[in-house]
Amino acid sequence: MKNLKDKTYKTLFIDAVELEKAPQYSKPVEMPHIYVERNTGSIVSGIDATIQYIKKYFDKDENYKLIETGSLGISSFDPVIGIQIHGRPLIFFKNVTFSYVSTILDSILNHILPESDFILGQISHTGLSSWADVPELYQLDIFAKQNRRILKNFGLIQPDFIESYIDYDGYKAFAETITRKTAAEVCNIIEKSGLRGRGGGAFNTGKKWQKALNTGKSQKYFICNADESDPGSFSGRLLAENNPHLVIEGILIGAYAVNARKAFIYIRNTYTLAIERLENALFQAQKAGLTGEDIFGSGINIEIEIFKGPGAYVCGEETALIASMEGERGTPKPKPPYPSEDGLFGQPTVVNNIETVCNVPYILNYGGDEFQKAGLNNSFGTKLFSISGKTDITGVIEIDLGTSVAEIMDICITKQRQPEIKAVHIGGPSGGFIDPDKFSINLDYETAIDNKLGLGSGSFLVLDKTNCIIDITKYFIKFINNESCGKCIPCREGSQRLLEILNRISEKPSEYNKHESLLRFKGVTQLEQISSLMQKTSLCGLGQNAPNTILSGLLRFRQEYEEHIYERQCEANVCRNLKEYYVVVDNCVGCGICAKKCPADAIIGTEHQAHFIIQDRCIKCGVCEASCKFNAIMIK
Amino acid sequence: MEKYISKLPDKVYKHELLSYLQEFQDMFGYIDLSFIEVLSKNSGIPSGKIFGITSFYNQFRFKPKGKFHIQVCEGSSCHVNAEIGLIEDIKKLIKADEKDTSNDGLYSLEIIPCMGACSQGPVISINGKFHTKVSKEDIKKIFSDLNL
Repeated sequence: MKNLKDKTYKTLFIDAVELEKAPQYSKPVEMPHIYVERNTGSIVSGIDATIQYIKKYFDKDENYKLIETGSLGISSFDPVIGIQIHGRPLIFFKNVTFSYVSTILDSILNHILPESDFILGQISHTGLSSWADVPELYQLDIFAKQNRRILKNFGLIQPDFIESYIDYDGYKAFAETITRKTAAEVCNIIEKSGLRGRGGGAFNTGKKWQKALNTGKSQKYFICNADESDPGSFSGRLLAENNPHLVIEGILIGAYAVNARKAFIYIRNTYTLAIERLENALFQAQKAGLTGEDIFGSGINIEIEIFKGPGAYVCGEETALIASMEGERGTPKPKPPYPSEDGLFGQPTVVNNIETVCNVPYILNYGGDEFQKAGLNNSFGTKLFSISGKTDITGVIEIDLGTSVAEIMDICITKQRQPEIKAVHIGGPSGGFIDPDKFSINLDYETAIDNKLGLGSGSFLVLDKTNCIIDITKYFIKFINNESCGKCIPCREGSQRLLEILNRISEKPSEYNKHESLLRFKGVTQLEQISSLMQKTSLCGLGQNAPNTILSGLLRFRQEYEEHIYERQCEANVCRNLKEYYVVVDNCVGCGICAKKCPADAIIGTEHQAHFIIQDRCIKCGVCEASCKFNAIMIK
Repeated sequence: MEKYISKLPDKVYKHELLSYLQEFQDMFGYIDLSFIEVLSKNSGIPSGKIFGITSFYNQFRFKPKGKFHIQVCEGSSCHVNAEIGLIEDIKKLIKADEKDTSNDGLYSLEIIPCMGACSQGPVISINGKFHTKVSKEDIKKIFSDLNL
C-alpha cells in the first residue's frame, strides 16, 4: 500500500488530470469567466438559448471563458448564470432568459450592476473587491437555512470535468479509504455514523454492508439505485446530473467496503443528460485510475457500469430492481432471503439509493460524530427535499433530518402567503398529507411513521385552496394503480378498487337510484377497509405504503371527503363532474343575467326565451345559480 | 431494420434482453414484433414471455412514433399547477392515447412522470422543443402553429 501521509492525496492524480485547468472562483481572473448552469430544469427554462446569445455577444472576441456548471439546486431561479470579471468576485444572476443576456453583460463588463431583479448574490473572497449592495449568495435565506453537505459547491462544480470535482476535495475520501482502511473498518464507520437508507426503507446502511461483507461468496455486486421515478421527486436526478463524480466516489467506497468488484448504476432511461454525464464521468474516472484494475496500487479492481432502467416505479424496490437487471419483469420477491445474501445472479448484492451513496464521502471525510451533529432521534444527517407545488421557490433543498414542516415552509414560501396553504403532501405516492395544525411535526423517520407518513424519497408538495385533496389522492392512487406490478392481489386489485371508489365520490352518480347513492355513502368505510388490508398483506413497500395518502387524507381532511359524498361539493372546484347545472325551462323568463355573468360563456339563448347551458363549457362555478332570481337553474 | 436484426448474435442471454430492446427502440423508435420473434429464437425464451417483459416497462412502445412526438409531464407539480383536464384536451386534440400514435401517423403521445422542470409546470415537449407553463389556450395555439 502506498503511504499517503507525507503527500496530499491530489498527487495521486497528477499524471492523469490537469488540476490547474479547473477554474476557481476564489482566484482573480484576467478575462471574464461566465458560468452557465446547465441541467434538465434549466434546459427547459431556456439555458441553451442563453448560452447561444452569450456566444453571439462575444462573437469573434475570444477573450472570455464559458464554464458549464451544474445547478445550484433551486430550479425556480433557472436559467442561472454567474459572471466573474477582473478583480471582482463571482456574481450570480437568476432568470436570465436570452433576451436579457446583452443587457446584463453590457453593464457587468463595464463594472456596473444591472437591474436588481436579476441579481441573486455574490461569493465574496479576500483580495477581490466585492460588489456593493449585493447580498452574499450563501447568506441568502434560501441557502443559509439549509445545511448543504451533499449539495456543497453545487453550482460551482463542472459535472463534465473531473478536475473541477477534485479541486473541491473530491475523491479524497475514496483515496484515503482504499489506501488506509480495510473494508471492515469502512463498514464500521458507516454503521456507527447511523446513516440510514434514503430511499424510503431507512435501514442502517452500515449493517447492510457488513452483512454483505461477511457472506463467504467471492463474487459480490454493489448497485446504486438512481431509478427515481416518483412524481414530484427530482433530487436523485439533481445529484447524478450536477455532480456525477460524487455519485461515483460514493459507489467506489461502497463497493470497496463490501468487497464488490462490480458495481452498477441503475438509472432511468429518460434521464438522458444524467446518463450522458455519468458516462463521461466514468470514462474520466477510469482514465484517472479510479476504476478498473489495481486502483492506486492497492491490488483492488472495481468496475462500474450503467444500467438504463426501462421505466417502472416498482423497480425502486431492491428485489424488483434486481429482477429487472436479470432481464425479468420487475416484480418484487418475498424477503428473506435479502439481496445482501442472495441478490443479482444469486450473488450477495447491496442496493443503495443514490442519496445514501452521496452521503458516504462526507462521513469518511469528516467522521461519524460530525455527521451525527445533524439529525433528530435515530435519524442522523441531512435529507434532500424536492420542493414543488404552490410555492415561491421550487427546487431541491438539503436540511437536517428532523426539521419541522413549518421551517421548510419558511424556506420555500413567504410568510404572507403561508395562510393560503391548505396542506403539504410529503413522500410522493407512498407518503401522506399534513394539515397546517401539524406543521410543527419534525420530519425524521420515527416521527413520520408515528404520524402515518413516509418520507419516501423526499418529495414535498405544497397545496393551496385551489387544490382538492380528493383529486390529489386520486392522482397518486392512479399512479400506483398504473405502476403496480400485478404480482400480489392486494396491491393489484386493491389499488383498482380504491381508484374506483375515489372516482365514484368525485363524480355525480351515473344513475339516480338508491343503490348508487348507497355505494357513494359506503365509499369511506370501504376505503378504510381496503387500505388497511393493503397495508397488512401487500408484498412490497409499494403496496404497503400506497394507502398512506388515503389514510392520512381521511384522518386530516375527512370533512372534505364528506362534502364530496354528502353535499357533492368540491370547495376547490376541481372535481367538476360532481354536479350538473341545468335550466328549468318553465321557470326561465329569458332575462339573460346568467348568460352575462357566466365566466365560461356556457349559457346561450335569445332574449325572453328559455336559456340553455352547454355542459362541455360549464365549469360548475355556480355563478348562474346564485344570480338567477327565478329559481330557474337547478343542480342535478 | 433487417440489417440490424441480422447482426444480432446467435446466442442472447436473458440479462441482455432489455439492453437489446432498448437499443432497438433507440434506433427505430418502437419495438417491432418481428424483433421479439428473433430475440426469442436466439435466446430460447418463448416470444410471449419476451412480449410480457417488454410490455411491463413504460419505456417500450409498439407503434412507430408520429411525425410529432409529444411528451407531457404528469409530475405532481405539473398536476397541481395545470388547468383541469389539460391532458384530456391534448389527447382529444391529437386523437391518440398514451403510448399511442394517431391514425394519420402525425402525433404520438408519451406521458412522463417527471421532466425535472417542476418550477415551469405544466411542461410539454414536442419533438424535443419545450413549452412551459402551458394553458389550454396555449395548447390550441401550439398545435395550430405546428408545421404539418
